[in-house]
Amino acid sequence: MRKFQFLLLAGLLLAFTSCDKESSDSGKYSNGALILNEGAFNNSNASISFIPYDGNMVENRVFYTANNRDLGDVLQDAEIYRDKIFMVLNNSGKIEVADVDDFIQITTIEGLNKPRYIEAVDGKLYVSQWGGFGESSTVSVIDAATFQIDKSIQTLRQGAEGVLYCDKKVWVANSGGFGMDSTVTVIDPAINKIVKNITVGYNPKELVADKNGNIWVLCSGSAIYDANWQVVGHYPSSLVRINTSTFEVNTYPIAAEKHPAHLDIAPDGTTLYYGGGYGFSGIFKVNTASVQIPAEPFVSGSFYGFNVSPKNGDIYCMEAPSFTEPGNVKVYLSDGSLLKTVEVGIGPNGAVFN
Amino acid sequence: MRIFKGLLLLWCSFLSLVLSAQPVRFVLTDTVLIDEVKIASDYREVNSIGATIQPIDTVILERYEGRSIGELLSAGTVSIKSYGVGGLTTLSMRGGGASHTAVVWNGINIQNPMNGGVNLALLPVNFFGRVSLQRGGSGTLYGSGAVTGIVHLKTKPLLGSGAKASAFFQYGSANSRTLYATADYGAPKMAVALRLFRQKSDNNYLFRNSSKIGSPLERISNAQSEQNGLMAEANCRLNSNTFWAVSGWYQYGKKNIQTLMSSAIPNRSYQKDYNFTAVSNLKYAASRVTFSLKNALMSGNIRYVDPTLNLNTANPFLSLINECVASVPLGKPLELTIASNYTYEVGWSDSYVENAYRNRFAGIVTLKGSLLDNSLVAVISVRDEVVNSDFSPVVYSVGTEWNPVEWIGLKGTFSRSYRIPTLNDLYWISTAQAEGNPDLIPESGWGSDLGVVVRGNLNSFQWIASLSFFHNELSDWLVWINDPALTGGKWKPMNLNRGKTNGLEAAVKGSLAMHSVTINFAAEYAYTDSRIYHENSYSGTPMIYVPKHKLSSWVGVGWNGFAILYNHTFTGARYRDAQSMLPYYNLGDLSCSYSTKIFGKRMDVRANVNNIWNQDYQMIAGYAMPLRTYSLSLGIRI
Repeated sequence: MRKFQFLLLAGLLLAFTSCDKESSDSGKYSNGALILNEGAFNNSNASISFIPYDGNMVENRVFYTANNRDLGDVLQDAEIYRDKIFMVLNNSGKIEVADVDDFIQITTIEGLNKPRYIEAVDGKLYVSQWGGFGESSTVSVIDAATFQIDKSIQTLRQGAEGVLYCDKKVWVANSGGFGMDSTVTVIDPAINKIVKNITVGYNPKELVADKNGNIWVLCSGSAIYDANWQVVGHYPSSLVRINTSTFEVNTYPIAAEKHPAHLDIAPDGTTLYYGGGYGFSGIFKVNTASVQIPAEPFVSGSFYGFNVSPKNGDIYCMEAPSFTEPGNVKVYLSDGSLLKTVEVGIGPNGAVFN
Repeated sequence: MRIFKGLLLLWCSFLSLVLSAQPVRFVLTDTVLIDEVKIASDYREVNSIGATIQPIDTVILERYEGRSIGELLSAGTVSIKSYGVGGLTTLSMRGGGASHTAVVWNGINIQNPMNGGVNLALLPVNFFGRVSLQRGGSGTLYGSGAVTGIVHLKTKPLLGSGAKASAFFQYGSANSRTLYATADYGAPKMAVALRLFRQKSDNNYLFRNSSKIGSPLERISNAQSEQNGLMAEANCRLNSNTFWAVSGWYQYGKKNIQTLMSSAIPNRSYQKDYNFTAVSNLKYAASRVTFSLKNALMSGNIRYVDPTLNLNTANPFLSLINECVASVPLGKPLELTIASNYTYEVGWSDSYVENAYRNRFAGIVTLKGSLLDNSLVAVISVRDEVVNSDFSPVVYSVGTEWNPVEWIGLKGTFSRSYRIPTLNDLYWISTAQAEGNPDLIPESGWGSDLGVVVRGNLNSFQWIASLSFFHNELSDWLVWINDPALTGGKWKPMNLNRGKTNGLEAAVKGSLAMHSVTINFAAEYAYTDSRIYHENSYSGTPMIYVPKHKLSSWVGVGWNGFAILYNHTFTGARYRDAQSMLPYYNLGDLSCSYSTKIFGKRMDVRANVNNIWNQDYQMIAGYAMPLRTYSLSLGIRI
């Protein structure tokens, strides 16, 4: 009898766990990486490619297949939140919202001015926007359930880029936009007001949080041009650590004349990767415990962007040889060996993981 | 650095504009007329034996008055790409790119030396009395850029007697207004003509936005356009052997760049194009040789402004063309023509290095002969060009036409073509993001075609049918690329791609006259299988925006001054980028007109319905085209 009861209980439990598995992971686009393809500027051909974690397959133009319409122009970033994917179209001034498991469209959020990056914060979504030339950057707060823009915060800074939620605050990197900036804006999401601007390195772009609750900012630096578009100098690149309680800053210089554009962190919360972007070769690895800028890259190659899978630490590296040919994604294991190469859409710049 | 990327990509994808004609006939008396025709004909046209040259029917030309050459040609079988309503419009024939089709006016190729293209939206149909399409390249006679085809634009011939004037006015949907006025004065030894064109449109046509949820009906935004054009021509008979024709043409266009269908914010960028072209043709017919001297000046400026990116660029250029030609008959069936050309091109741009100029010298030799009682004509030509001391590939061509009997003709050509890099390709300033490549070599290729023409005449029914097959190949095709291995992380043009195209063109045309009713009809079909090859990535992938199938047909019925014309085009599915396609579409246009005389002066009234089937379509993905629109026009000749 006991055995039978045990088996019955086990059977019921199994049935219930299978049900759970069905409801959350059964979509067409679950269990894989969603590659964000910018498309060509002014061509309205941004797209999403789906690469399942197992195997070598890829499905391109996932949004078009589900909804029979173009996604928009220049897909810059995306956020998966509460079973939905929020896709930021930089040159279309909008966010497209779809179900992340089957990509059926839900709505379009308009009223944004050159939106760049997006981060989910407790039922809200914070979106950074550059605005037009001469305008201040803005961070808009969007309700993740009603899709309405609750508030738009003018940061009075230039080129708002990466957005991160950490230690109950929203941190926005100001990359300089049409001019120059070296600050990170800190917003209190409870009142949606700016509490501080922290000075970091030149052209801060992306931010990640490590396992100790510190924030790391990649400051790309940039080339300095004269009136005839000749390069006359460089602002150097650096990695900056911010203490989220004291706002104290530690700077680790990277290079005087090289400008890596992207930053990500492995699931262990202590291995940082930076690299990618125009004219920058390789992806470099540093440890948050003892930052030593390496001479050689961990992964070699010229990548337009990269992201690290939070599931297993695989590094997805995007190659964009031009904006008319399809790009490639090279997936490397965390030991640096190449797992697979897959052809994706035009101008892949990053990935989000379902 | 989005700004820079944006600017660069805009230039890469903007292949646009500029403009060029034939010496006009000066009509006096019959005997003079015969000499005139010989003197006035351009050596290029006379020596294009075997080429498939197809004039656009006058019925169609009149139907498209008030519109642009781009819109006129999109009703045919060439592949036209238009960035929305009135936007940048370029042409692709036989699988070539926009810079592979020459546009010739008064004997000069008006492709813009900075970007190699011509914006057909800025060429008003009203200015041209005759438009012909030459399919297939002719690098020997027309030089660089005439790789897969040529559009011939000819202005209306000057009338020799008395004074004449005309006015044409058109009003249509989206508040589109067009005015075209002419004044001619012809005396026995001299004729002058003045032509004025003005056009304005709000271009806020209704369209179905298939890029938004629910495909709502919306109005095209930020697409307003304005054009002003002025053409002045003079013909002079200096003495019984000497004839001089001079033309000047100024064209201005302002065009707001249409908002992309998928965009949630209206676009604010716009472009202003200024072009001035002047050509002088002097012909002298001696007893054994005919000389001609051509001098031309081509200048222009494109200003592009995007207030949201603080972009305000000016791109002026100047081109001076000088050509002298001598034609000598060598014994009865042969004629030898020798020509030499000196062209100077210079461009100025904030994005150029200093001294972005070049000197081009070209020499051409053509031999034409006829056999079998003139039923077989053949021509062979050779050309070479030196650009700033770099030799372009020597190009040669052979063409023949054979009419064994009156009702059938066979023709064939083989020609090599080339295209020198544009000033943008060579002289773009080196920045952290991009640079020009002064080491580029010209693109070169060859094309061959074979065709048959059959004509028939049955009482009052006349018809003509033609079929041609062609094959062309192009190597060292220029492409701007950012491949770290090849260009060190910068956008740079390289001679990388190869193209191959196979296809056929079929056409049938007929007219029937019964009592006082005339019926005209035509149908054309073009099949183009065009592929690009690239070492590293493409392997025979189809070219973008080249449909495999294009069909065009029209039927016109006229009686007692009334006429109805319906024309229909079918454009097949085509790639809009390396991975996705635009669907096929059908377009129908209907036009009703009435011609009469009031107080002895000719008056024409015309009512048009465009896109009568309300088809939603795009020529370039994301740039909406209008649903059904209407227009009304009135023309008076005094």
